[in-house]
Amino acid sequence: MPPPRCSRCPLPSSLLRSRSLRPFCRRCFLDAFESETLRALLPPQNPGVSPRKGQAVAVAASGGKDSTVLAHLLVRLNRERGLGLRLALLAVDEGIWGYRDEALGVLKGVGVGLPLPLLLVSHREVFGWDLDDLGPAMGGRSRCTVCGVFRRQALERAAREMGADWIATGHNADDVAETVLMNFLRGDVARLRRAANEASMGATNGTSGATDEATTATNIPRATNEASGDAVATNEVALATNKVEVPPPSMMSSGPMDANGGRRKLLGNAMEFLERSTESLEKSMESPRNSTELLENSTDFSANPTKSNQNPTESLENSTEPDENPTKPNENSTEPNENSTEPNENSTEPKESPTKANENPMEPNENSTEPKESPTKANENPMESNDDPTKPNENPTELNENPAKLNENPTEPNHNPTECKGNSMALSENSVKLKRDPTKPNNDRDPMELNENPMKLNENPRRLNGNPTKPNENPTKPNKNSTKLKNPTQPNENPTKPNKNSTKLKNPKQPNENPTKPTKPPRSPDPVVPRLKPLRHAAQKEIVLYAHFRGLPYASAECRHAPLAFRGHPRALLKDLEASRPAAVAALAHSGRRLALGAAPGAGAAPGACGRCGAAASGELCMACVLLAALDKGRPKVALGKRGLRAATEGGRGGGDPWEGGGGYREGGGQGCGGRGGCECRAGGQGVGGHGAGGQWEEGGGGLQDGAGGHGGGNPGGRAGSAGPGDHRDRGFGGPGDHLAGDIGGHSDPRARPVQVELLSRAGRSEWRSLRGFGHGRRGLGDTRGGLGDIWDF
Amino acid sequence: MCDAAGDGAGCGADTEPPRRRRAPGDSAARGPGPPPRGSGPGVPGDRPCPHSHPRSCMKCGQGTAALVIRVGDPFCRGCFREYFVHKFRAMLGKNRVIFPGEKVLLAVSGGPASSAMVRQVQEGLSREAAKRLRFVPGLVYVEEGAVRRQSPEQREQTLAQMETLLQATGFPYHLIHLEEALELPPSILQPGPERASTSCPSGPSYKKAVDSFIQQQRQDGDSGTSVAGHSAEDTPAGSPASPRLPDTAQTQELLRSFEAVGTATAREELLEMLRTHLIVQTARDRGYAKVMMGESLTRVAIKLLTNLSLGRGAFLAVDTGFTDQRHGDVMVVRPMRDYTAKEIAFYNHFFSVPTVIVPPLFTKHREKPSIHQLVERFLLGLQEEFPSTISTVYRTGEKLSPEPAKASSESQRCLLCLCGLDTDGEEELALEPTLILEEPAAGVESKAAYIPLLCYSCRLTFKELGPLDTLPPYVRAEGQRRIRRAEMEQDQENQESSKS
Repeated sequence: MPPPRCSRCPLPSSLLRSRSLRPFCRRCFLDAFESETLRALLPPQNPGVSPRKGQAVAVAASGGKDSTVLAHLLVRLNRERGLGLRLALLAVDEGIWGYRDEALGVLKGVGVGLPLPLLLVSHREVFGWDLDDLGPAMGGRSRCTVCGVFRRQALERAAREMGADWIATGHNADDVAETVLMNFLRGDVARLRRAANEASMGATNGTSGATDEATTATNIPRATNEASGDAVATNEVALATNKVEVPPPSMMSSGPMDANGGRRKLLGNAMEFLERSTESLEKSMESPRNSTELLENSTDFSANPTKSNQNPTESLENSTEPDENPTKPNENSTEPNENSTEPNENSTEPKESPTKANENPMEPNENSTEPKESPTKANENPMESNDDPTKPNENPTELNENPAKLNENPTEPNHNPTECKGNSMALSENSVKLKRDPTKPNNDRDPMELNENPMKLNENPRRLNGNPTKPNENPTKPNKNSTKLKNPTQPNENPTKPNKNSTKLKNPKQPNENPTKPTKPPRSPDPVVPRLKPLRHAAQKEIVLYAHFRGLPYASAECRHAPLAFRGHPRALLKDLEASRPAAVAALAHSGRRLALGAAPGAGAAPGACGRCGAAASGELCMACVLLAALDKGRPKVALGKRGLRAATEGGRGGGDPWEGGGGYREGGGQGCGGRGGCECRAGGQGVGGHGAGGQWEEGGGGLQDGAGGHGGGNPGGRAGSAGPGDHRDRGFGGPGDHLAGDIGGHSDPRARPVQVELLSRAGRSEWRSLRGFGHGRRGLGDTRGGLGDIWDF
Repeated sequence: MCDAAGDGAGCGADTEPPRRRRAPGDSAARGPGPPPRGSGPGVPGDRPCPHSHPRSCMKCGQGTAALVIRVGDPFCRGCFREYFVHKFRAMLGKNRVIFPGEKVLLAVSGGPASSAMVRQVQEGLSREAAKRLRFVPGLVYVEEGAVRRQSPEQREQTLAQMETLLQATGFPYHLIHLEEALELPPSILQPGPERASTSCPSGPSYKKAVDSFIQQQRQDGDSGTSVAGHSAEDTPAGSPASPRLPDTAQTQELLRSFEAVGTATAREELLEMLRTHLIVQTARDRGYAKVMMGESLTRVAIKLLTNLSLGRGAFLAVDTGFTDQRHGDVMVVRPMRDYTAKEIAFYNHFFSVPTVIVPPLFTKHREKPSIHQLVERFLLGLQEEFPSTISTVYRTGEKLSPEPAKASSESQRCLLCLCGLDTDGEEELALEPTLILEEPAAGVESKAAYIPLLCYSCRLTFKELGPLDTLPPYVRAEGQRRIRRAEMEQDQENQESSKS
């Protein structure tokens, strides 16, 4: 029997495709494989979940076949199909002798050959443990769990550091199927659900993706416009998503005011949030001005109904700010749109304009005076949107709704000063609610747009809260609530009552006491860098063949720890299944996407942040921190899950509840921080002497008193604390460096120590860099964010 | 659906590492099967148990333990029986889908699980009035000797065995040959019209039904005792003494169908489909509202993982859940899904529940084992090493919702499995394996035309079935009808669009 012919050309075939079981010749296979990868990378029905031109993609590379083929394919597609992506390799050295070091050797060659720059981070540097060191600590148990958890987090952190918009991994179809099997066998419903929901979300996301592009499209031409221009852009997006042709809200609502003023006021405010990041550049310049604005605003509030004239002027001022950076506000404006349409990706979005995201955390660190600024702006937004409803009193019925809803809120903020434990979260939620409310009155006029605008506004405060280094955000929240609450009620009862206004003015002062009390900072996780799996439909067999046909070098050794892993079982089953029915691999992946596990309990809520490192975490700590704590305490047998968490946090309880930080924040005194009281954690276990100060790490207190060093010193474990938000305040005064330096002196904690990472240029030139604050555990330290941003052209 | 392999797995459950309570006398399990293993000798830190004296029952504290169900739970015979019976009643009581007076068809394969199920129903019906199960049972046995490579003599023998077994229950019973599937009506591929009584099995209506049933019983007085008595009418009229096998021509045709199937996996699926359809059709014809299947927990776990591997992720809940309503008027119920195969094996052994063993489905020479076999072997093997495997898989399956199996319309319902199509919104590349890309010119009717009528996993199976003329006639008839209908709708749309 002659060999079958290629199904596309007359040549003899050299393989059967795994998916279609059709014969292909070598050349047709290579073509097909590449175009399939492109299709998987840029799914035609789903442009929202694919990288766009100019974005940066970190290719997670191990030196093995999948990642090597992936890197090769991306470079090739980038070149041949003009994807316009910026690419770099990102590798993690787990410290497995004889396996990873050899693979990395191969990888370096791959990097030079492609050529792509390569960033190499190691477990030893980031977490303080090499995999090989774990041997005795793990007592013969599989260390693959630790390795995997650490690796994922290291990738995530490094990608963020690089300013990557995406992480591309080489997961192939077999890996996906294996994961489904494995999670099912282990009963990991949470993971199964996440995978299934992501898939179904991806399928429905197409439209929102389209709007994303629309926004960028509209924004770019206006890049030189000022804030109002951006506002228009956002409005257009809203229109696009809703398919309702309504003129921009500002035009409609401007009523008594002149059209321009109105528009600026409404939308310019939205811009303010966005501009904050850009403002951070000119902080020193603007901050005084902001503070003055603040004052104006507060007065505005008091006289809201009467002084409607001032608002437009403010907004004019605001709108002038962006003029200094005409381009940046525009970038920003695209983000909120994405937020509103794709809530699930919120956390990732900020990354899309890397500069912005990088700068955000910087704000508070550099400017001691600034903290005032953000609160004030936050205040402005809700206020002004409230104004609109009040002015056109044409909708009396709707206005009546407002107070009702708002009245529910006032009680909550009132609790804050007294309760102050976890309320900060509630507060931020309140503020969200409040912001939505003001829009209601406008509903009949331009229902869609106004609703969307507040959404955008809401996103920003969240993000700001997420910066653990901004202690002053807490105080601002109560401000908002209290002020907002009263405003909307006024128009109903007595548009001109001045008495209430005066009370409002007092409110801003109250919060100054608050800051110290909420010990739990509103945590939102560090933004997650979204993943790409362009090879998810490619069979492992075909990847090997592709590498073979293209002559790609790759490392093929198996990790010597792998045989101990449970994963071996599902993998063996998968091999059998595949032999029995090749389509079983695809079928398993399909099953995984279709599992009807419903929404997760607490779905919709943004994932929380790890109390220690700020990574996205389902519990109070992320997996990596739980494992690390277990290792540091010499109790690696505690598994993940609740027991592990308890083990990880129990040390902290010694000095008071880990989240409350015991006396830590109280010491923080009026300055508030405290926020990080809880995080400390690891130290707790070892912290023999550390508790005296009221919580082991209690950086909050420590930072303030400058006692951090001594505090740490009392901690024989050497993990003392450091760095809570408290220090930033320090940093504000003394510059970013000094506090850190203190830490470093005191401890060997990887998070405090500068972390060495290796960069390889395209030409193969190696360079070591020392990054501070990159080590596991430190969260929100702005000083290194984007510290590797230059790698793309390295 | 026989759980012949379950016994070994069940014993594996004994060796669960000594995490909770250490049972000092696992050797108390004196049953059949492998000699009791000194609980997991491989587990580090495990002491060999020196106590060999019999332990007492953990429940009553008096009887001598006869069996350790889970680690540290030794039961004496009496308590085990009570536990077993209670579990069955609790399962029915919890779900409240079986209404009093309803006719329920028990699907019996002769294997351990379904035999134990029949025994449970028997016991439930023989209890004092207050606790008596109130439904009216019937039995059905599908004789599959043709595809299990049994000679006619063997088939006769098995059939006779089964018949005595069924007769002994005193319930009406139906013997069906798999060959009869060739004469199924196409309507079996559509859900029947829901009955008024079963349409809303919610709490209050169930209660009402129970009350009215009890009232009626009181009116009937003592005459109502013959619940199981009116069986004669349903028994096949043919002389029960010598059950006849179907025509050899039919057997040949059925075998042709099965032999044309390319893989063992698809053959298993075909058998399962034909069997289910036969049972449901029997229930429909004779007015049974419910069908009870005897799938054990072990079997459910295997089926979950098998169906996951077949691409039926969306339908796991209906495929294995307690209720399965895809057939509309006839609801499939799985009351045995809480029992591990081990419990069932011991119950059958202790209380001498008779079972009949039939050989497995034939495989071709040098054929790869089916996915079903692979998964079963894998799970039972892994269970030895990780004793919570099967229950973990089972519990994972419990969290799934049956929602995606619901189909909004006929065009959205899979031709073969009657579940809602799960192919919408799937990436092109992911669907590629399900497509028939090239077909040796098959004339007018092509297999590829059937693909859009099928769900993801049925597409994969359908691809491996033989050419169209080997398909069971009812599948083909219904498929052609739907293809024509889809074409007509397409035409109409085209006309409308061209008009406008």
